[in-house]
Amino acid sequence: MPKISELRGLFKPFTKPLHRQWKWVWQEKGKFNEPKLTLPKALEGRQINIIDPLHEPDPNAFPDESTSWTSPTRHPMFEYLVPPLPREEHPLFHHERPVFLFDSKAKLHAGVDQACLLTKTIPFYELPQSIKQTIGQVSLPDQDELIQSYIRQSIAYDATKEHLPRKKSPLKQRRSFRIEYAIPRSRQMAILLENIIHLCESLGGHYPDLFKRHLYRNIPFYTTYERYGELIHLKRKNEYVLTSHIPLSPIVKRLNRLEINSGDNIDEKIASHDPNGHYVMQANDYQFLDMYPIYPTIDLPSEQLYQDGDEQGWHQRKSNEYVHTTLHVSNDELIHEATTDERLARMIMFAFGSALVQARQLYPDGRLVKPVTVQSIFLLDELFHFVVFQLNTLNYNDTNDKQCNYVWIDKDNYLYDNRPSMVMHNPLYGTERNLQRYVLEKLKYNPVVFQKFLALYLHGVK
Amino acid sequence: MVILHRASSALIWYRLTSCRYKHRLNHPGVHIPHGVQYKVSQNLPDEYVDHPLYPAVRSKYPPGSWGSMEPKKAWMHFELGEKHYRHLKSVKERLTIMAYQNMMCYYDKLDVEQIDSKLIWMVTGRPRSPRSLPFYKHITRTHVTDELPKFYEQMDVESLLTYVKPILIDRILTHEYAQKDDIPLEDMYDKGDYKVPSIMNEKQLKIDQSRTTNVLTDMVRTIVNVLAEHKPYLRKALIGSDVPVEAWWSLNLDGQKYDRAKWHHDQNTTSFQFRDKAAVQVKTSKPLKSIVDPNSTLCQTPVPLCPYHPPAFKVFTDRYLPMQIPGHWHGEGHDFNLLSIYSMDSLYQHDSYFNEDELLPSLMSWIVNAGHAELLAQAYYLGFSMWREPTYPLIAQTAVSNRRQWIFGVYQLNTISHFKPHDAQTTSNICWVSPLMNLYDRVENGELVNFNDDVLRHLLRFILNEPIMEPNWNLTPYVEDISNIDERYKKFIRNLYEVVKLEKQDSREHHRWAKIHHDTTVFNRRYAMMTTLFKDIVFDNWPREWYGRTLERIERKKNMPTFKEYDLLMSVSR
Repeated sequence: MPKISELRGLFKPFTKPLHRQWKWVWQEKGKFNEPKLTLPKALEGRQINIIDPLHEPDPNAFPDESTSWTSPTRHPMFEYLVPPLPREEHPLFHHERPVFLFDSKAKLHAGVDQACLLTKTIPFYELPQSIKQTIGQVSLPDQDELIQSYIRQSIAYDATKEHLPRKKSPLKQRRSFRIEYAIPRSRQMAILLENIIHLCESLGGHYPDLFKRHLYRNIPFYTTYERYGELIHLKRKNEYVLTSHIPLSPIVKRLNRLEINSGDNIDEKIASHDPNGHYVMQANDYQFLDMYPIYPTIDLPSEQLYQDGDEQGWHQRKSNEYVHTTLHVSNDELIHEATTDERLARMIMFAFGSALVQARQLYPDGRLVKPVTVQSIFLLDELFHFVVFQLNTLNYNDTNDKQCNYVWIDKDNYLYDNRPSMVMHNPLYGTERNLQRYVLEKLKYNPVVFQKFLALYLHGVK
Repeated sequence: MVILHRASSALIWYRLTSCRYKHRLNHPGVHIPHGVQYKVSQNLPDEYVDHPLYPAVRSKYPPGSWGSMEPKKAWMHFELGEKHYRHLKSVKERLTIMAYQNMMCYYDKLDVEQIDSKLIWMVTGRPRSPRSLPFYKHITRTHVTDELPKFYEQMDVESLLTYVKPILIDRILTHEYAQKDDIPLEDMYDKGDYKVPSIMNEKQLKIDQSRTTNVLTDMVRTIVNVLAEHKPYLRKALIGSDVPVEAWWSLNLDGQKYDRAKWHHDQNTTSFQFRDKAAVQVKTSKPLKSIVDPNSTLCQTPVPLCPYHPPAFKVFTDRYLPMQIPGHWHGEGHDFNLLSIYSMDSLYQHDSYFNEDELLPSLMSWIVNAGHAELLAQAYYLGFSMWREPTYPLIAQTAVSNRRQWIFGVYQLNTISHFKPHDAQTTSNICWVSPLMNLYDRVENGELVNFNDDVLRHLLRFILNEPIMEPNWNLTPYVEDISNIDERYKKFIRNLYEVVKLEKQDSREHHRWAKIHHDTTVFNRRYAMMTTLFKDIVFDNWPREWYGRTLERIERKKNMPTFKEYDLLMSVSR
């Protein structure tokens, strides 16, 4: 019988070095010496149920009755063997009531006009006068330097190094770009946006109300409303929602078309920004888009799997919260993936939706006593759109009753100009390398955008 | 027929330059004696002088304390540092070269390029095994004290506390209680499949970590915003969440025997790379006050050696590009740490949490690791390095938290030249750690139960610890002012640093593939490209070791040094 040391050479071709395997096992499963449970002698004789805190319960023991048995074939490894549950069997599947789904990817081909038709809204392509007047009124010391440093932080100085998706240029389909390892765009926008929001909040020394606001991230939102017998379901994940403890006051308070008969409403001061009924006159002239013979819901797919009711994204607390601003962070690869019009249409729909949910919660009986106002901000890289929405009516089945919602739109605000891009006719492609060089060396900053942002942020603060 | 006289200059010219090689005068042939056959002039000059012209005999050791290191090694290290600081003007160049030196290639006898990157011990903030505090103390040369410095208690934060507390409670509840999660419709009902525990744990861990990041960021930003009006250093502070912190250093083996992971300059050293992400980080442009004098007895006491090898503490090697990142890339301007908070959710998921009495040492070593690494990277950004010790102590305030439990620590970095042997160390680093505290016990009915003001006090004191706004010493003594160098050199520096910033991180798999495509790693290739594009600068300013693979090849073809030149370059006396 050969000794083991002699055998070792004979088995050599059949053995593998165990180094890495051992390393893995040790790293993942390695345990240090386990302490033993030692019972004090005084406890030995007694009939006590001893629970060992040092050891987990025996993994091989029979499972207790509370955990039901699942077949090992339902392991995710064998998922492809099990046919997925048909959609019809989903508990949330509505067999009788299909809806038109409007989600964050929906595109309305007629853009803002179509969204206005769907929500019975009259658009004004500027910020409301009351907000316009406050632009630039309040400023922070060296705010422009700070914002520029945030831009640099978000694009060039953050040390995140992730595998980015391949870049391509629609203008030159065959052009290929290097794989880059840098900051993903979602993170770039998050850094920029959170920095800006908190810079605004640093005015809290002057306006203590700002510290009563809350910022929610990635919360669900859905609601359904009926328009001419068609149900329209709005659904999206809100990237950021800013709430405040007082609802925003209406922009236009004297509404000739709106028959609001409420006692406290008469005493309220007439808004100084619309003394001559400027908006009301404009609204009188507005003609809704005539899409006949096409339904305005033509772009929306029919959907039967959806949730009923309204969802704002947070649990009710002791003090009330009202949506102040919804911030939409786009995850479009390219800026031309959707047109400005389509994006604005989306913003109007969702701003309308959150105003609607708020109105339903404030006035459960369906009588809108006071208009509801919400704001909405869109961000894609350096592009901002601002939207202010005022909900004046809850009746969408009748266009002739002369009660319409208002929306103020301020679009195409670029925080800085000449950003290298994959789609513009630009000498520099929008690769990370070019972006970083642009931001560090020849940034063309536009200070007005932050002033507008700040004006919207401070809207409704006393 | 031309008759050439034996002594004519035309013949000599002919036999030196244009005749067949075997007849050339300096050909080492059989019949012709070796060497160039010039006529030696008859009158020799007087070569005697009054004083010796050769350089003075070097002292045994270079300046500085070197302990028991061999004099030759000490000189080598010293000259490495000298070379580094002589040729590299900017910190960005130095950081790139530091990475390149560990990834260097060499040519073997058959002129085949060999990738010679060294194995590095990879360290994270979370220790992976219990009872590893002595090890981390040893590799970072740190003393640990289990209470915070006394001066924090003298800071009065009561009025601020009463103002901030309700706001913070409200904001914590926003995340802990009020916020709803967006669940896809498919996941809203039980599909009846088997839930693999490890997968579920991992998912839960991710959710927990992102929630911790959000809560901590909101807390810190709220406090900063409350104070912003009166504290300019806070208003201008750089705040980041989920920022990577990385640091690389080489450590002397002190007589231990390692068969791998040696640093290539010196077989008696090994190197470590720290990698982690800080959940929140606040940085300012001015340094914090030092806590103890680096000449005090506490700092002068050497840290005890830990005789066990890294694998005993579940620390293993990998190929990695050595990098110094204190949270952001170089050039941002906010180079000084004010506060870093790490998320400790992963602690309970792994073996590092063993039982209650192992928890505190584990967290202590986390703070030691994180504080040391961040300050080390910070020191490199300020122009210090293993060859140039920091001229003033650097301070970091660190906390580790899973939003319920909190532990605070303060780190003072006095020395970073860990490559020197143990007996050469004159100072060591100090870390102060608080006990583990609960901010609250649990969330019930939309309220925080047992909210602990003391934790909040600690946090406020950390944030209120004001940096020295007008330091009366040079913060970056080893950084040259490069604002006046020419544009091309600036571009060279920028491009070189982009190689570190934007290229793929080399890894073990990468080295396996390297043989197949392009015969080298991405980093080496891009580095070679940059040095070639700017070869005028490189040829003029850099020593040959840093040329990169393309320039190296060009150089080799043009003029291989003769034996004579080689002897002149590398004199025997060295």
